[in-house]
Amino acid sequence: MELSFPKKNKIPEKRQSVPEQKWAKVKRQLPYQLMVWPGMIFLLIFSYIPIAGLVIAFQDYSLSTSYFNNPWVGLKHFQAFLKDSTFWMAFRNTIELSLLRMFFIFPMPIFLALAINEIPSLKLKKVVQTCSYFPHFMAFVVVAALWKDILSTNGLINNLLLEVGLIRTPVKFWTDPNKFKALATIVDLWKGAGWSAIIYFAAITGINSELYEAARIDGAGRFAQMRHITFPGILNTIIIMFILSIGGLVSGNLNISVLLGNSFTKSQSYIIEYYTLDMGLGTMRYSFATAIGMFQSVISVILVMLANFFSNKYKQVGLF
Amino acid sequence: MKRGHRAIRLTSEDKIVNGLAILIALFVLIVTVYPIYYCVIYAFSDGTAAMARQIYFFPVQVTLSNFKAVIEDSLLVNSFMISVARTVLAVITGVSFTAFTAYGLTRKELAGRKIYSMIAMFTMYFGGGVIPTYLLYLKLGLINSFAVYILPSLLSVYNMLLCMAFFRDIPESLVESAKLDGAGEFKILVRIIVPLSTPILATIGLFVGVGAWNDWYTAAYFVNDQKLMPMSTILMRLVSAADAAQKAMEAATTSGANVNRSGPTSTSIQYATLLVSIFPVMCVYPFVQKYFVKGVMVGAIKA
Amino acid sequence: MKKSLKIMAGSLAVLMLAATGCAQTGGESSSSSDSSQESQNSVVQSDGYAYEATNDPVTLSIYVDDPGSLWESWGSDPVSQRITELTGISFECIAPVTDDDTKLTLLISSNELPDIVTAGCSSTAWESMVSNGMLADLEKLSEEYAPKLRSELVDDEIWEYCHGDDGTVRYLLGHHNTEESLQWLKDNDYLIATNQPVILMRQDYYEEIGEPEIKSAEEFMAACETIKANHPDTIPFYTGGLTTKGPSYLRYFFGTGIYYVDEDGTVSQSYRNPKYVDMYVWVNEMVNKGLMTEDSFVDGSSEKDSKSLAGAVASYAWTVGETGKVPADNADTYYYPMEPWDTYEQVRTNSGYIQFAISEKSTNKDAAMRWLEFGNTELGAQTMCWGVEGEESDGWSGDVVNGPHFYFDENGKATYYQGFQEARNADWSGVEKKSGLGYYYSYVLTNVIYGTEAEVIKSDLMTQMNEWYSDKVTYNNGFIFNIPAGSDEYIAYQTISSLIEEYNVKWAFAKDEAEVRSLYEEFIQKVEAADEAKLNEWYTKTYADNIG
Repeated sequence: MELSFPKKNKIPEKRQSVPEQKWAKVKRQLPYQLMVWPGMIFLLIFSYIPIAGLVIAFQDYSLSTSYFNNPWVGLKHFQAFLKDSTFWMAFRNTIELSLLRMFFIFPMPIFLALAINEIPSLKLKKVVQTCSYFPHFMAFVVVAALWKDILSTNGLINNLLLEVGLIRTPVKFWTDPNKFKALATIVDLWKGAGWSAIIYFAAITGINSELYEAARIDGAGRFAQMRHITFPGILNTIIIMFILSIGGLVSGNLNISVLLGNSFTKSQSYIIEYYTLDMGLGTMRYSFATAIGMFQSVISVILVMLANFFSNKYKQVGLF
Repeated sequence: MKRGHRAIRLTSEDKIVNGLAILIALFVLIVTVYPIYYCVIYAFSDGTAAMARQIYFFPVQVTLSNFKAVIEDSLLVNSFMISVARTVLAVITGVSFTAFTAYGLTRKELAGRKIYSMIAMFTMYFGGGVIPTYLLYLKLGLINSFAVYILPSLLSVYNMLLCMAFFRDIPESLVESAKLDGAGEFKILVRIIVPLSTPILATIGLFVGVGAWNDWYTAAYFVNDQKLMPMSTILMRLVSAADAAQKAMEAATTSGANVNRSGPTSTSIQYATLLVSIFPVMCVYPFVQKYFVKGVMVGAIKA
Repeated sequence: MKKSLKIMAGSLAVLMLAATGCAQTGGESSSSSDSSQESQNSVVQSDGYAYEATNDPVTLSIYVDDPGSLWESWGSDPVSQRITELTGISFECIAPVTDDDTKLTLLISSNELPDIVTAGCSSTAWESMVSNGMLADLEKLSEEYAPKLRSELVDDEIWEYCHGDDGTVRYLLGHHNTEESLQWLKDNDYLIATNQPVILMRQDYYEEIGEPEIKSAEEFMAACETIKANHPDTIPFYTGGLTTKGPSYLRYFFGTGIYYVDEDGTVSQSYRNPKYVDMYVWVNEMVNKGLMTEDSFVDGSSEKDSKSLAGAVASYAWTVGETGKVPADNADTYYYPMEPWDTYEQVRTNSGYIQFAISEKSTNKDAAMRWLEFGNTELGAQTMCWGVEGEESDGWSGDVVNGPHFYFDENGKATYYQGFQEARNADWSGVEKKSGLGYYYSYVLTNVIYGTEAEVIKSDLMTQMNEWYSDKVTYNNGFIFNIPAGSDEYIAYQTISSLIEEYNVKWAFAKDEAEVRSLYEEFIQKVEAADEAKLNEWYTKTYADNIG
């Protein structure tokens, strides 16, 4: 920020002996350690203990036996799905849908936040903000029913297009595999964009209003202010959100696949989560399902680490 | 952007920006309000009549019977109280615990900061699955207890990272000068950091709250007692009952068992339940919203 | 169609007439009784049932695989209140919220089963529970707590059927027909019940084309073509809600069944049946002629309801229970089942419906046995199925909740009042929820006659259906297959199921017959690659065991 407070602690210090210095350091950080430890203990209990259950990925787990008494089978389950062509079809669909999400869905909330921020009437601004979250509260079953209805061959959109004369036979929206990914992306965007914009609203609110005053005095227009103040003001948040979203590259939204997909579009809608459900959980192959989940997790962590590394290096922003 | 007190003559650029913003706003309004309206017209329509035709704009055979059916459900009032209680508690405990941990992690003095962060981040991508979680909760005595709604959601790593990103933008100088004045760490957190961070705290409060309100999963797997079921779970159950009935009927037919299965709950009742369950969240939202509308707080404190 | 049938238009309810009395009960029943609540105790002679010896209040936990059911609000309906009153037993229900086995899996993996476990007979969970010794030996418990359950209340045939590999009985089964009950159903024209798969036709359209006799797929297609010519906007034939994952009910019309035994005695799924590909050739022709649409392969059951209620389909495949639905565009007509085609064939397995067991860990085994025993007595059947007894055939008061609901006819057979039956047919789930009748028994009663008795009422519809369909139904318990979950066979089964789902639409929407057949060849190759041989070997062996 523009205020020029001294960055370093400039309290004049006397030269101290080494142990004394160390002790001071410990003493200085003790309150922070005390702040962090409860959270870490929490994570150890509620996250890491169940994570130990992942060992079943390397076993043949059957119900109601203790976790460590199952026969060890090494990488058998990993080999099983890596050799399965259905898995790779699901993998490709998952990645493609994720890329669409990253390029089309990710920027939209940012755009939305910037746009809503420019609304001149405070009242309208409040109303629009509130309404933009509505779709987030709808259960996905209802969302799917609504969109399937509206885009059905005798639904609202087709009737409208027929009426206007743009088309002569109804468009097959949901049974055309080529349209599935685009439609799924639109539904996803519609459901989540307003809600995801919240974090950017919060970031915009955090920008010092004096900056705008100063810019206006310098004669900057609205676009210039957006470009030079608002956008840079939320850039850190954008980067953080982007790094976090990179981890989602190998996972998809099962709801979209199950509720919007059908046997016509299966070649495009079948994702890894669906595969896991079909071939693993649905048939009580918990080890197999766990192995797939682990595969996804490992890729996610690697991707996030890489993204974090590069963003730390070039932008000095990162998760840690 | 509300620029406060001074009335300024609008430049042509201002006009363009305002116009565009209003256009976008109207578009957003239409596409987001309509689905709620769609639920409303179904919920106010007679169940059978609504099924017999596609309705988009006006209800058919207007009736209140769907809402009556929802409210008459003896579990509903109870589940509403459970939902409110767990949401309020989860927000209070979750936000304070998360912010507390996040603040500690942003302090540069903290040794092992990176390691702690990595420990936390790892849990975002690795999870043990439902069986180990169930076994853990059983050992902790959380199964079938109200605490299962609160304890496991005390800390959300995702929200913690958002908090950390915001805390890092708070000028270090403010903390330093407070230290010079002799304030302790906890005092700094409460007196300086928290007031400066209301937007992010409100945001994660909203995330935690809406998450708790919508969460049907916890109760579905870790709670058996009907009296502890939140509304979201009851709604989910209503929706899945239809699938279950269909599957049971097909199974009975193949085996030749003469079983009559009751039909699914009508879409109209489902939508009425949905409206009843999201209405409270919508009412609360405007109160949270004031934290997102450009305030003068940050500037005022700095100045 | 006979003239007399048409008069019964409107709803299935109207078709239900009071029984004229050619039925008799399997067991002993009282000849006379009062309609008052107190008199119900006297219906069954008291001869030492465990539930009579004590009715100390006790709460049993029970797992029920039915989200949002009456079990979850125990005590809110008169039937559950009455059960508690008679036996002292109340229930605390554990039920899944979504339609999957995860909840039961959690209870198994943590060894925390409730007192009573119930689940569909084909659930893969039974195997884990039995093999882990989590279920109690019911014959032993019966000896200890309720001797009559073994000796007289549950038929020997059922004990026999439920025997496990080690000779013990770990669960009992409802809706499993014994020889006696099968005969009883035939005698009472109720072998074909409301869940029999049929094609329902809009009667106004059917009259328009001159009510031709339709006995084959070809004749049906011709009829559909005429209907299509008369009503270009309608969908002539529709199978929505069923055929999204495979042929489902359609297979019965073509007589392909679910499994197939070839000349060598190898058992496989029915896609190996030569008739199977013929069925898809027919479906494909229907599609290419515009007589079936994509909707049939996309819609779920709620879309099905919506299309039939709207009258958007001329005919659709579903069950007898849908008879009498009135399309929104013509209040004077209704959907009615068509005569079966000559090729119609249904092989039933008689595998029953819901299995119930008592957990080994339960500390309330005595009470759990008390419940099993009560549930299998006539008083239990009366409480859970028939309701409150009234006098004579005209005692219907119009009160679905408090009754009276049934009377004993001159042969001593419990019979619902016509009014009650009508109310139930008009709003099945509503009456079930309010009265509690006709629900709980599926989770405890083994006697099919008790469970069905009151609802078997002579009606023209059911007589007609039994006349048409009962010769088309056979039983073969060889086809009872529960593939062990997670086994190689199960993986093959799962892969094949996905392939069927994939080719289901490919066949239906192929260019022409030649393409259907070449796609079928392609399908067979993929099925063979999916370790079909291993699965079929298992089918064949199990089939032999089942029969042997």
